[in-house]
Amino acid sequence: MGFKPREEVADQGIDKRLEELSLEQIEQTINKVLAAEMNARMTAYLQTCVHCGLCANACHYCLSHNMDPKYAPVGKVKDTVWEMVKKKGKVSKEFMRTAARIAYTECNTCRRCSMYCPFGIDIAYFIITTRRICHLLGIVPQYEQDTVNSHSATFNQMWVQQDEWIDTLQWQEEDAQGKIPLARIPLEKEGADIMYSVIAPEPKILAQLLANASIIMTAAGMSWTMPATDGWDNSNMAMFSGDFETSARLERLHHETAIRLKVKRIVMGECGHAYRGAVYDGPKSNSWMFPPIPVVHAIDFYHEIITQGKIKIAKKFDKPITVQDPCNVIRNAGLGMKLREIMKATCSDFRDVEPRLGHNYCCAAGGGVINCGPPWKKDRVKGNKIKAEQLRATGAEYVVTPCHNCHSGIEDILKEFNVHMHVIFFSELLVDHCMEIPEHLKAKD
Amino acid sequence: MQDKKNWNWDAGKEMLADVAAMRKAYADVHEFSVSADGTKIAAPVKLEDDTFTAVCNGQAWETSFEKLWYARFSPDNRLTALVMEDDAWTLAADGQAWEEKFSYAWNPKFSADGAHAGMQVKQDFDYTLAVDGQAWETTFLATRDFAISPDGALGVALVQVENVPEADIWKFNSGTWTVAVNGAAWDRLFMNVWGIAFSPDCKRVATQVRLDSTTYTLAVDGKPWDQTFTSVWEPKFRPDNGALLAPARNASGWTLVENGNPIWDGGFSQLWYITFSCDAKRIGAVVATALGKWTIAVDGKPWKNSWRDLVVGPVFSQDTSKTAAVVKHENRWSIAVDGEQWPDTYDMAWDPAISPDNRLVMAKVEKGGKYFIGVNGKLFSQAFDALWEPAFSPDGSKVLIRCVEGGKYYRWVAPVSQIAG
Amino acid sequence: MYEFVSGPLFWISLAICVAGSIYKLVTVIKLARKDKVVLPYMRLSYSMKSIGRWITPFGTRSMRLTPIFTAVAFSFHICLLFTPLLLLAHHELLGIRLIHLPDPVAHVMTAIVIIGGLFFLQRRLLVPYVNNVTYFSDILLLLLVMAPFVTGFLAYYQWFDYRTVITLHMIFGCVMLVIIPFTRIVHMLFFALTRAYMACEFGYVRNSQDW
Ligand code: SF4
Ligand code: SF4
Repeated sequence: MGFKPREEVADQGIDKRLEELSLEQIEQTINKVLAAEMNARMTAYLQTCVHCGLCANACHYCLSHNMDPKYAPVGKVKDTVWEMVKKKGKVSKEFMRTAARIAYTECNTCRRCSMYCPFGIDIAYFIITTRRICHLLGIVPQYEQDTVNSHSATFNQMWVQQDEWIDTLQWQEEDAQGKIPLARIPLEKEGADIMYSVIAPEPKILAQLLANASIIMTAAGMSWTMPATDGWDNSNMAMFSGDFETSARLERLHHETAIRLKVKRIVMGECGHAYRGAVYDGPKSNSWMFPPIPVVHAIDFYHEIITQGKIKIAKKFDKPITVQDPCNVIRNAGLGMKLREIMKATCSDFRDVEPRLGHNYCCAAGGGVINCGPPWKKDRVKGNKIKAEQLRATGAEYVVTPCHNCHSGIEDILKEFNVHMHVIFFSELLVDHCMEIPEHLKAKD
Repeated sequence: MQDKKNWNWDAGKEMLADVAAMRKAYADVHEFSVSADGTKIAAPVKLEDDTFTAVCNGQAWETSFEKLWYARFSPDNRLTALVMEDDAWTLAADGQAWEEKFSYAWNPKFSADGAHAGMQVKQDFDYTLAVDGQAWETTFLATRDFAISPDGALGVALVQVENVPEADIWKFNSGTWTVAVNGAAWDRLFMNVWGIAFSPDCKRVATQVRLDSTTYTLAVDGKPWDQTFTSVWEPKFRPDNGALLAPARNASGWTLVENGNPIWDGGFSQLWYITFSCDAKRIGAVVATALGKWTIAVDGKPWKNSWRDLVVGPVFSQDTSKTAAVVKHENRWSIAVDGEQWPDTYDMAWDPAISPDNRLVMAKVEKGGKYFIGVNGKLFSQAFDALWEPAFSPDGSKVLIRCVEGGKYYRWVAPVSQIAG
Repeated sequence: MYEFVSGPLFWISLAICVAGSIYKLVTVIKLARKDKVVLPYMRLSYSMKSIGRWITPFGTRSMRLTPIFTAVAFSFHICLLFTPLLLLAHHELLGIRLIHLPDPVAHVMTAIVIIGGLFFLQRRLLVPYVNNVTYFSDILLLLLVMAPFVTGFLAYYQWFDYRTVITLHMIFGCVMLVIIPFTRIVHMLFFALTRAYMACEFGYVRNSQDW
């Protein structure tokens, strides 16, 4: 029907292990997982789906590929779980190779399709179940697995050593003092109101964001702390690779670090999936119904300190600027209007996207997809033309991405589709352009 | 651990430091730390020349450093801190820095009597431990956690001994981590190792290990149990017979296993924080009986009440008959004793203490930005600006209060009748 | 034959339909109890709000994006449900008196079901992403759903042999009743459950909305 088959992509993490696996192992593992997962949801979803294809309109992969059926959400389920159920696990290695590819690299588990399916079928749940099977079989994209390995060994996603973490905070504190002489990053302060947590790329490659946090917290007069132990990284790729045991271990340590520090809430940096891990998908694996310590996303936190007047806007940013609604905190956490309020409070030429809020298009980097690394980059970028076009239509020169995955994902697609736009975090907008440093905190010279 | 018998238990309230004056005297004053017996209060301070020192009871150390942080009291009441000079880090105690310096040093810990101190260090690009001023000769690619045995004889670290080239998931799977005891790594390598537990005689070391990406168990002195599980949590040795206990998950859920075999019936949704009563006859743990139903189980039997958000590890009374724990429900904190929650809830609650005669349960709590002492659910009327966890005297007749009021730090020994009145 | 079909067969089919539906719902709700993370999060208010949206024509963005489909789907389902329930002939057969549809209205409604069915059929055959997930069973099911309406239409106009056609009509009607709980038509029963669950996931757990 004029749709090209997928181009071959080699990923040793999947291919090499698949060679060693026997068909019996595959069958057993599928059946074990499906038996355990054949719960109310799976049963109801399998029987209810009327094969209507309405979910196709939701998926950015499908929209970016000219409505190619293999990228329709239901098409992905057909080529993964349906087939496994139908064949009772007796599937070929080639089938598993494609299933792993679909599950890890062609779905961001962004849950947009659940808003387009009349029955609210949770396609992401099918995809994650497929990933669980792949994890148990050991067929996980190499780079994704490497990230999960890092999580398991170091409790952060980028192999950051313990001394590197503390050292980075100490020199970022000094950097922040360039702007506010008494700026602090108070480490291990038991009884502070807030524990601030971030994801590993911040200390590793974007350390200035930590100085930004120090400047914002100090200017807003918050009682806050950061841990000097493992548990500081709130990211969780294990949740996306299907390694729920490692995922539970990460979420436990993150929350227990907050419990140990006796803080009242965790404020997290601009990251979407970390919020998902700490707030709604992660806690369940440790039997927490809700996060044991409340977690506040950066958007919500900035909204709080801006609307309560804890920080003042000295000057509005006047270049045309738009925004990305990260799925995990907008569609899946309802922070969309707050995001708009802080954009309008800080920018005089804010240009909204369409569709927006919960209906916004995913960045195609989230859900673990960008962590599948270089082999899959082309697919990921090509699969999100619609996002590039959506941003282009705003005519903005800047885009705020309050999420690390969105930030990297959007940078990639803007480049690929020649959209000239700077990608920034909200904290950069605040610190570099808008925020007023209170008089009493300024350097006296 | 300090013997509370040796503390001064004479009733009275003594002002030991003028905290407010200190804030004026220095360019910046960082976080305060108070000794367990309450006789000392200290904080890192920044001097006018941008160097740092530590101030204890208003008295600054003679030496200052380029950086100084993590001011903590050792069990023998010395003030220690991590200090940096000429780009090299080390540990200083009562103003005296170790001679040996490191590229980086962090996470200092002590033996129970405080006589031995150790920390994780990095020397150029190698990682190891330094104990009592001396780095181990063996170095590693990384250390991730460490502990000193209570008797000070063993320094133990979780170490990475083999290099994993970038994104080499196969190498990682084959095992690159293990445990090093006094500098010598176990022979067997694991995919992961987590946590360190010492046997009561401080001779054996246990840790959680991951044998392959889906198989978990416990290992003692490098030897994993024969039984494996789909997940495990941190183990503890029984103080009485030295058997190793750990939460482990099998098909029916989480249970407690001893030397590899389940000893509690049934499966819990979650199980962690094993705690023993003083006589080691009773075992407590935090359990979830279902999603969002947290409670304490003693000897496998859960309390009848549960809490939605969380429950922190149980505390046993000396005669083992009573247990108390911090609980949190719908974002309000409280204390529960034998399954019954105090009527009031708080913005925050700290670990409870049970009086030696079992009559009183006491905890530090926070309400409206002030700190209070709660006893059996009632708050002592006085509110504090800062408060460290109160303690009962060994005979149970007095309470040690370490507090800041009106900008001043007090060590206050009050009769129980006054507090619990 | 006619007597059997118009009497006992109908009652048997109805009984199977009702019992089967109850069985299906009970099994799923029982399963939901075992699934630890479903029932604790269910809240009526979020469920009702979302279901309300999804049974309102054009109440969701998804429906607004596909206006023709939405119009057809709503008309189809309404007519499918109410034509048989409110048809005078059916009432007379069962000897009950209820409000009923005037004949011309019933005609139009029957036609809508048939036209709607044809619309779905062409979609299944021509739209690639629908075709991709269309199985023979989907087509058969659609035809089975349309069959009582087609035969009903034919019977009314007395085309072909009336007795044969009306018997067929009744048989198809009974088949339809019987398969409701056991085929994908169960979506009519499960709709409220799956939607309610997603509504609570979006609303109660995640402070958002699913429409
Ligand atoms: S990427 Fe999002 S819209 Fe597409 S199938 Fe996955 S969850 Fe659905
Ligand atoms: S929209 Fe829903 S019912 Fe229709 S095909 Fe997609 S998942 Fe199935």
